[in-house]
This record gives sequence, C-alpha cells and structure tokens, in this order.
Amino acid sequence: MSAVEQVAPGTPAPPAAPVLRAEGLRRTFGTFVAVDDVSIELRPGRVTALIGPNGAGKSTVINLLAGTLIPTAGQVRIADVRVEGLRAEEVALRGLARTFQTPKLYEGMTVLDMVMLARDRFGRASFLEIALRTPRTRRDRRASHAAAMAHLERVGLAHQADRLATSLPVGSQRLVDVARALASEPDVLLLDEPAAGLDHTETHDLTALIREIAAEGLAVLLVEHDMRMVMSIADDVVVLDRGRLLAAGTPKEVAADPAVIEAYLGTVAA
Amino acid sequence: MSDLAQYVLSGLSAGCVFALVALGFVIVANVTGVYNFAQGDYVMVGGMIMVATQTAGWPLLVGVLTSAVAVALVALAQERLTVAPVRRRVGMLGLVIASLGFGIVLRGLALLIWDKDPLSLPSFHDGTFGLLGARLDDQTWFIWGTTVVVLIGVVGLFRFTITGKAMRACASNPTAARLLGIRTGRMSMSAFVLAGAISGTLGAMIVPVSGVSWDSGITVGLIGFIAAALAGFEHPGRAVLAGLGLGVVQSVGAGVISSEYRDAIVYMTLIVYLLGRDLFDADGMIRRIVAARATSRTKRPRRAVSRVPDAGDAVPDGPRFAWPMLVPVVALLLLALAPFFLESGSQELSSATFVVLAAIAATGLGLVMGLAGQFSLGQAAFVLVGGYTVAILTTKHGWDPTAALLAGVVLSVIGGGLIGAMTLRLQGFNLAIATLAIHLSLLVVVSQATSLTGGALGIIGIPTLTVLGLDLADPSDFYWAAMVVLVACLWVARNISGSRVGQALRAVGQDEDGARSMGINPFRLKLVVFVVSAGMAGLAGGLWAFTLQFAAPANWDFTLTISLVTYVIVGGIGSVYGGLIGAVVVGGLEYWIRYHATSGLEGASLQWELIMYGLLLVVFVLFFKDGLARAFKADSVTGGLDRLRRRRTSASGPPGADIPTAAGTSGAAR
Repeated sequence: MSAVEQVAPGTPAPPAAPVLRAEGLRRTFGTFVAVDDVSIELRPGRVTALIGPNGAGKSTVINLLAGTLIPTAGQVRIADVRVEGLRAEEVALRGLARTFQTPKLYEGMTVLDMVMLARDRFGRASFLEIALRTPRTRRDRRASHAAAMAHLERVGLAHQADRLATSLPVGSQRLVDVARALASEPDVLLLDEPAAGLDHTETHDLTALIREIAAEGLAVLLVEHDMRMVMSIADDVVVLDRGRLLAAGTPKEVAADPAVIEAYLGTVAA
Repeated sequence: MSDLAQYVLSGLSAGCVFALVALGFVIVANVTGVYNFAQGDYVMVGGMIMVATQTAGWPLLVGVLTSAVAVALVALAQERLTVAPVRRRVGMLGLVIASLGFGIVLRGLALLIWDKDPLSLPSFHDGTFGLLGARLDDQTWFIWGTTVVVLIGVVGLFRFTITGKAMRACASNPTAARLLGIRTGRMSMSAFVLAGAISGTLGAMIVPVSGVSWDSGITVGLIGFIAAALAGFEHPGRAVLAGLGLGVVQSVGAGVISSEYRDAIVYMTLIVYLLGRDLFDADGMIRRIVAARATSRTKRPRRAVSRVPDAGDAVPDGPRFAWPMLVPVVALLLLALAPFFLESGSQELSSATFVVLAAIAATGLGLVMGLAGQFSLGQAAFVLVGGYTVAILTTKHGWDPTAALLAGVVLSVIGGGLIGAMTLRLQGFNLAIATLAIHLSLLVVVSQATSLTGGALGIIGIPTLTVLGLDLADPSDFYWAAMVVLVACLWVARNISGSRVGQALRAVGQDEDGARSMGINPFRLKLVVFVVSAGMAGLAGGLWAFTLQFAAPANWDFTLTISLVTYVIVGGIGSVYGGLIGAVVVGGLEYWIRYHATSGLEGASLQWELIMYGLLLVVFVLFFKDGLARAFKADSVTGGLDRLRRRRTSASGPPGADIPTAAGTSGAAR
C-alpha cells in the first residue's frame, strides 16, 4: 500500500522538524494540578510513547493536545500554528487525529459509516448542494466511500464494512477507531491505550500497523500500559509522574533511568 | 418616586410566584434531572382548585391546604406515570416532552371542567396598606408570607435534614446514591410532591391578585423556567432571586413602557441573558475571538485524496425502497387522493390543506428534533413570521404574491439564524425556551401593533396566490401547489438526512466529543438544520396566509406549536417522514374531532384536542419512541423473529447451542 520503505524500530530517523510541539503545558482543575510544565515534541515518522502510572496525567495531556481541554498555561503548535485555544474540531481540521480509550462507536452505524464520518471534511459540496443532492454531492459520497474502504482494507476490516460497529468484538472495534483516525489523513496521530483489551495476536498486528503508519511519515503519540509494546515500537519515550515530566529519551535510556524504575517500571517488575 | 415603589412592590408579588415556580423547577431538576414543563400548570391547577373550594364555601385555610395537597397529588401522579417507569429507557428529551404532554393534558382538563373564562376571588382580607409610599392590597401579605415560609422550609430541608441531603445526592450521582442505600425512586417522588405542593399553595394565594384561567400556566411556567435558567438550574437561592427580579422587571416594564408588553419585556431579559452567555461564556464568542487572534486564521488546506484511488464503480447511494417506506407512502397517497374525494371549496378540503401545510412545518421541526437533537417550542413563530410577512406585504405594499412568499421565507431564515446562533452552542433546553419566548413575544407584538398588523382582528383581504402567472385561486389548485411544496420539502429533508451532514449530526447526538475529534463542528451543523427548518415553517406560514386570506394571532398561536411537536413525535422522531405521517394521522383526527365528534360552538372542541395532544405526546414518547414511521420497521419484525427463533433453539437444542450469537452480542454489550 505505501510507497515508503518500512523502517525498523530504533533506526535513527532522518531529522525532521517537529510537526506538533507542546511547551510548558499546565492544567489545573480547581486546586489540583493535573499536568505541570510538560513539553512534548512529535516528529514525522516517529512513534513517541507517553507512559506513566495511573493518574500521572497522560489522558489530560492527550486532551490538551487535541483541544478537548484548554491548558491553564503553555502552548501547543501544529506546523508552527498555535492551536491551544482552539476547539477540538478546529484542531482536528489542522491535521490532528486521535483515538479514545473507549472506542467511540455509534449505535446504528456500520463500520463503513463510521469511517466515512472521518471523511466529512473532504466533502466539497456546499450545504445547498447537499440539500438539493447535486451530482457533486454524489461524487463526494463515492469518493468518501472509496477512501473509507481503502482505510478499512488497510486495517484488515474491509470484509466487516457493512456490519454494525457495535456488534464487533473489542479488538476489531479498536481497529475501526484507528481506521477512522487514519481516514482523516492526519499529520499527527494520538493513540490512547490502543492495545487495552486486545489479545496477544491482536496486539502484535496493531504494533505492525502503527509501525507502518509512522513509516509513512505520521507523527504518532502512543499512550500505552503494555510495556513490551512500548519498548518494541517507540522511538522516543516520555515518562510522566504526578503530572510532571519524569524522564524523556530513547526506550533504552528511559528503561535505565533510576527515577523511572522507581516510579513506574519498578512497580511493574514487582 | 412612589410610582416606582408601587411598581417594584407590586412586582414582588408576581415575582413570588415566578420565584417559587423556579424553585420547583430547580428542585425537580436537581433531584431527578428532569426539566418539568408542567410546572407552570401546577400553579394554574392550584388556583382553579382554590376557586372551586371557595365557591363551595370552604374556609380559606382549608381551601389553600386542599390546593396544596391536590397539586402535590397531581405532581405525584405525573412522577409515577411519566417519570418513574421509563426514566432509564427514555432520554432526557423524551422525559421533557412527556412533561410537556402532561401539562397540556392538565390544561385540557381545566378547560373542560372550568371553561375558558378567567376566574377570580376576592382578597383573603379586605383592605390595603401603605409601604414606602406605595399602596398594596392586603393579599400581598399572604403572598409574601407564604413565600418566606416556603423558602425557609426548603432551605432548611436541603441544608439541615438527611432527606434533603439524600435528595441532592440523587441529583449529582444517582448510581452512587443508590449504592449508599438512598432510595432514588422515593427521592424523585418527594421532589415532585414538594414542587407540586409549593406551586399549589402559591397558585391558591395568587388568585385574588391575578386571577386564573386554563392557559395562565404557560406564562407563569415560562417565566419561572427563565428564572431557573438564569440560576443555571442549580442554585435554589439564585432561582428565587431571579424570579423576584423578573416579577419586578415585569411590573416596572408594565408601568413605564406598556402593560400589554409586560410579558414580552420579561422574555427579552432571557434573550439578553442568552446573548450575554454567548459572548462571555468559557466557549463564548469573546473567548473564541481571542483564541482566533492568537492563531492564524488560515484554514488547513483540504488535502487532495492522493493516497486513495477514486473508485469509479457504483456505490450504493442512499436508502432503497424497503418496507418501512410503506407508512410515509400511504400517508402521501392519502393526501394526494384528497382532492379527488373532497369537493373544492369544502370544509374538508380546507382541513386537508391545513394538514399539508402543517406537514411542511412539521417536516422542518422533525429535522431539528430528530437530526439535530434539539427541542424547539417555537416552530409556530416562524409560521407566524411567514404568514404576517405575506399579509403585510401583499395588502399594504402591493407586493407580488410570490415575492411576498419568498420574503417571508427569507425573514424566517434570518430569524432562525439569529435565535440558533444564540442558543445552539449551549447545552440543555435553551432553544426550546428561547423560541417559545420569542413566539409569545411575537404574539403580543402582532396583537398590539394595530397599525401594522391589525391587532387581534388581524389583516384581511390577502389576495390568492399566483405563481409565475399561474392562478391558484381555486382551492384544489392551491392544494396541489401545497402538495408540490410538501414533496419538495420532504425531498430536501431526505437529502440532508441521508447526507454526510445527517450522519455527522447523528454522531454528534450520540457522542459530541467523538464527533468533534473528527473535525465535525456540531454548532454549525445544528444551526444550518435549524435555519432550514425555520425556512420550511416560513414557507408553510406564507401559504397558510394565502389559503386563509387573513392573518390573525390566533391562526399561529402556541396551540400550533403543540400540534407540530405532536405530529413529529407521533409520526416518528427518527424519520424524515415523521412530520408528514403525524400530520396526516393526528391532523386528520384533530379535524374529525373539531367538525364531527364535537358539534356546536367554534372552539368548543379545544379541550378535547388538548387532551388528545397531551395524551398522544405522553404515550408515544414513553412507549412508542420510534413513532408510526417505524411501525413496520424491517428489523423490528426480523428482530422479533430472531428472538423467537433463539428461544426455540435454546428450548429444543442443548443449552449453549447458540453460543456464537451470544458471544457476538456480549462483545457488543461491552
């Protein structure tokens, strides 16, 4: 499918300017500081893993990057444009796609319908044309259908396209969510615990898919608990603890960091 | 100076009613999460029962207590019948519509029992007293005293008793409350009973001051709702202050500006408030402008779909004919056959014409309620705008009928855009309240601006419709024209519903965050649908003016909104044909009641129509959520067969024979 060579993990990628840059992010809820002075850079072609114990602020960071939450302080730039005051849909239109911890599935919609939703932005027909169902509206629909099918093909769900999304097993639901995110053709992809609830094979397939996506030049942020998965595909790892940046670096560096071992890996090993 | 004191102090009495109605709204909303649209009608029922007890010669105190108890029982009945059995199955919109339906039934019953003339009572104690230069009726003491006592009681209940705290716990987290052993059902009953008793008491107290009539609950309820909205439905104290404030605004406005416009002035405070929120809210206009300044406004260019080949092959394009289409097709056929069986110029054909016009407006409303998931209580306002635009432009300015019709549509669209822009960004039922407030204000304006609108008598002498030289003076010709418009509107509604806009709105309705993450802008889509709906209503209104040949406030009053909402609910809120089906079935029933079932004076059938509407709303919303459009839904039939088959296999085969299906469904349940 992709013209780009698959790059093995750990290979130093050619230096590319970060497509998403967050600096000094801080978010408070009342007196509680959920995230404090966190900076993250996501570069095209690289998978950055965001890890940390429960309550470390990982989800808050994702929500801050995606525009679901507005930071109390700090900046988020996508392609050098500040986006931290924008609403989620505006951030999305600037090239950021995300998945959710619990896949967002809509009652009564087929898998194909769900992926076509992400193609909404590519529709060229105006509302008036839609109301009058002009030929351009129909062309839009065909294009959207074809593109959605192609993205389903890629995650291996094309044969399930006409099934209701809610009737699929959890593993497939997560893949629908990934296909949905990819179908919007983003530059930045935020994956919020994509392997939660997946079995061994499914996790393996998903890992391969994420590698392939990154190899095509997307910047991927992966929030994940499965340390084996993180260590096998992340180019960079960012560790959060109680809202603060604990460590950042390559998987090896982070795994060797005593502070990380104490705060996070230590508890996993135990 | 003493004038002002007079206005303010007498405004406080009306304010007490608004305050306690608002308090009732807040109590019920806080404990059960339901916005109870029947709240205003409680006050009316309390007043009516008070009048009845006094006519029967009962002592005052007994009368007041009877009112309180009776209304508390009415509220209890409402909770038991329309909230308790269904609260988990029916969404918030359903519960709210059910409460509206219950209120309408109360109005119909009041009209049936006590007739339509306003009733009043002498003051409980004859005499007046002076305060700060104002002269007030002794009844004022009763009203103020009751309010203070109720307030102290309610604050004490919520602050200091376990029951009050348990009630508040139910509101913030019903599941957790249940786990703690709080009986949420009992708390829900208590909230309704409390709200009912308060409204009943005040309803009894206020009769000597403002009288009571079957429809007096609408205004009281709306202003109470506005006060509760100003308090964010959360703070009882703020709701009471807002209610008192609105009473003063009403009274001062009546004194300083005009007593006819007093309610309209109160409604305008809501509009000002909504505008203010849109400006200053966390996600409001000012915030967005600041954010846009910080960001470059350049939109991300739409990327060409280069990675994905464009398939030229045929792709299923929209839904094909299926059995569910049977109901709308039959409804349309019935309408199309009408001119062949009904005599041109007959009462029956003009009733059929009204059904077609109502179906046009209801189709628009169906888009707003079904697709955008918003509740509008002002669809008739846009019909009124369309109708009066045609009336004024054709009779006073000699406009061409078609141009006047289009002007009506344009004005409705602009009005819809303004109201939608103010309300659709906020959660909750602001749209319903804002549209209702604007409709009631417009009704006041057209009744009062006599030079422009002819007042209550209206405008007569509207010419018949001519389109592009085609004369539609003959009623059956006009009927065909209206049918063409209806079919066109259905086609547009179907296009929108089946398009990416429709899909995106369905996604928004289920999970707004998920939809936003895909770049879907919920506000813009809702707004555009609301504007289309307003346009359809304006079109229907313009045609209405041409067929009636006169425009009067009574043509397009709140009753019409109730009809349209009922059509959509009965027809089916999830179908674009819901409005059509509802209009044919319920509209047909309505005209049958009006002209055949109840013979006699004009308007004598109103009570039966109201009761019918209310009951239909309650029953359909609670028990036939999908309406008649889905009566023959394919998957409801096959789904039933599946269930039957599964039962049979599990009965005959070994247990676990149907594990694959069970696994599939349990996966979905997760």
